[in-house]
Amino acid sequence: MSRTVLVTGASGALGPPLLAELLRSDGTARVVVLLRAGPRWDRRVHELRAQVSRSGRLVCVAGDVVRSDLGLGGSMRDRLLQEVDVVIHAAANTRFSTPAGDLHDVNVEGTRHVLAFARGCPRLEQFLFVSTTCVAGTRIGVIAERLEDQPVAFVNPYERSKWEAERLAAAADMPVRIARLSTCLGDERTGHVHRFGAIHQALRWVIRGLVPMVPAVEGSRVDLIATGVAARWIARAAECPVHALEVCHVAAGDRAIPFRDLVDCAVAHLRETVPGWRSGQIEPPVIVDADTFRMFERSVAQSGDPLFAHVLESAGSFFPALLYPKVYQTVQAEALWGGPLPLSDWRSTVRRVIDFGCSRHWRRPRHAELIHV
Amino acid sequence: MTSNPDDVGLSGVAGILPERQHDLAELAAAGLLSSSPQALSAFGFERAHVCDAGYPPAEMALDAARAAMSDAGLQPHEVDVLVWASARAESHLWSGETRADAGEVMEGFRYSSAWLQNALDLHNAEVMAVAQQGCATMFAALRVARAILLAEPDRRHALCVGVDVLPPGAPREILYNVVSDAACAVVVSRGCAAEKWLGYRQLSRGYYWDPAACGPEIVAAYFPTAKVVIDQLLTEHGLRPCDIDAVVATGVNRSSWDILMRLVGIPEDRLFRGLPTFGHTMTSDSFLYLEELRRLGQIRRGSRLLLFTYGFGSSWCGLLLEH
Repeated sequence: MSRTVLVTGASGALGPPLLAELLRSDGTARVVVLLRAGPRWDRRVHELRAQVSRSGRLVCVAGDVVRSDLGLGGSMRDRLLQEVDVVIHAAANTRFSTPAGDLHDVNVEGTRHVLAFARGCPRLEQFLFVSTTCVAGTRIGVIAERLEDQPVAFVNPYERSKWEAERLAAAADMPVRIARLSTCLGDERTGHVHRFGAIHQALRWVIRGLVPMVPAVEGSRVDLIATGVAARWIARAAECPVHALEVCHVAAGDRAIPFRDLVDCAVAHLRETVPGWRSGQIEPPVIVDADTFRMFERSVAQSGDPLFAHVLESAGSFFPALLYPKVYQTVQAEALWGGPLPLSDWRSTVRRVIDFGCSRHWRRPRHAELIHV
Repeated sequence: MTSNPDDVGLSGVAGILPERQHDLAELAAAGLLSSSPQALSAFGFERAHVCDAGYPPAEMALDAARAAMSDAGLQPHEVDVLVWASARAESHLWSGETRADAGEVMEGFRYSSAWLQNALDLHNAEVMAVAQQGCATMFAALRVARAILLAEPDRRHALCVGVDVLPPGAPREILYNVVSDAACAVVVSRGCAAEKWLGYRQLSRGYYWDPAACGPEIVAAYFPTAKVVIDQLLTEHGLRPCDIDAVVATGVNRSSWDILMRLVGIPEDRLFRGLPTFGHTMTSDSFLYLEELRRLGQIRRGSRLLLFTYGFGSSWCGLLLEH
């Protein structure tokens, strides 16, 4: 047990399960969590510790990646610089609808600041940047585990900000591993979701019967992984040395789910469990081409209906990707893992996540739930 | 043209719009719209036809019925069944002057259908009414009329009549549709090859029973449920979308028809919207346009027509006819 791991973004969707996995590892002496300073800092620390561990191996420090010094006091910064072996930078603004400038501040400049910190760590073994498969933007086909030289067109500013952040990390003179995560659906055993993302918002509105149509093309697939798979892969990667820049897709890859199968699975479950759906009154959304969906969007815009505008903005963060079918290569991710990624039975995970979301009205859980370490 | 004695078709169709009209700016100035005139204009609306005291709803219904009977070549004594069909509950009561001596209870029995039978001298007709289907009420009336004609061979002609007007000063916009007052009448006849009845499909979803409470859900459910109804109707009759020669639109939001045509895969140039932009008239839209389509004579015999509508309640209805 030797490593000290600094983690940013621990209060995000991936954070608690990742911390649990890191603390499970014998190779990790201490996990230092950089939690955004602010009036609710004590509460966030309390929640995180209640969820993950009250062990002294989990240390929370107040800071903020948008500040050039990470918001750390001088002595704390100096101490951490000397102690940290691995940096896992997972902090990001993942709300796709956030203005581009705000996304840039957190996702690009935040990464720049964490890289600057890591550069000062004499013991640094690895800078593990948690990115997203979304950086492939509108590319279609097989997406390789490498940096793309040419910028692509992006579906939203979030994708661009993460792509730019990847470029920064890749250019840093240090051992960098980029883990591009696919969509993390939730806990495979309980369906628990720490923070609802774009796919959950889309599900929420579909379940309420407020999404009449979804844009997709023939062969659209949805690359989903259980959150635990991503957490376990990153925890293992933190222990594996990296010598040259490495890009890995922590994704289902060629096992991604055909979109129609996902819809059929969700609808079958809703028809067993949710009033309205159970009685067959609510019809599932129609899968339409891009032009038809644009006509619908235009119609909503012309009407000025605030609810549908909100639904489209919220669920629309997830939909556009369906128009750009792609398969993420997972060769390097599997090589690190030592075989195919242990994907869960996606059907049961989908059902559990739906049950969990419905039980919480698709709001963030108010009370922390324990993750066993 | 020959017809099979068991064929049922629409032998007469007529629609009536009151002459008084208000454009969107006037409606907005009177506070009768909830959306901007620009938004409604983008949806294809220009004006609303509004009933006034000089041409009351009962007279509109009477004129529509006379015109449909004339179109069918029917004399009053030939009408076997009269089906009154209006979306609004108030429209089922005669709209003329109240009697000072009637009292509130007796006023509630002054039925539009009975008044119309008397006014048209339909002395051989059995009278009934269909209600609670919203804008799909006339579709339901046609279905009831056809069922009676098929079940009772000595009945040959059923006259379906409806009128719907909004109260004076009522908002003229419902779920992004500008609403006009109108009446329509359709004669359903056995042994009729005109607008021959090929099939009907209706899905009723009581989950959406309260439009005041679930307006957004209804708007969202409109497209997927409409597609299911139309797909099922075509499948039941072994038809492909391209086998439909004309889709007779309703007067609702134009963009919704553009989208629906794409959803069901029927070529967009087969949508018949007619020339006048009268907006949405609740029960009469499809028949105002069908009347115009027949009058224009631009569609060949044997063409397959699809009529589709949605009615609060909620019901989605598709009707397949052969011209």
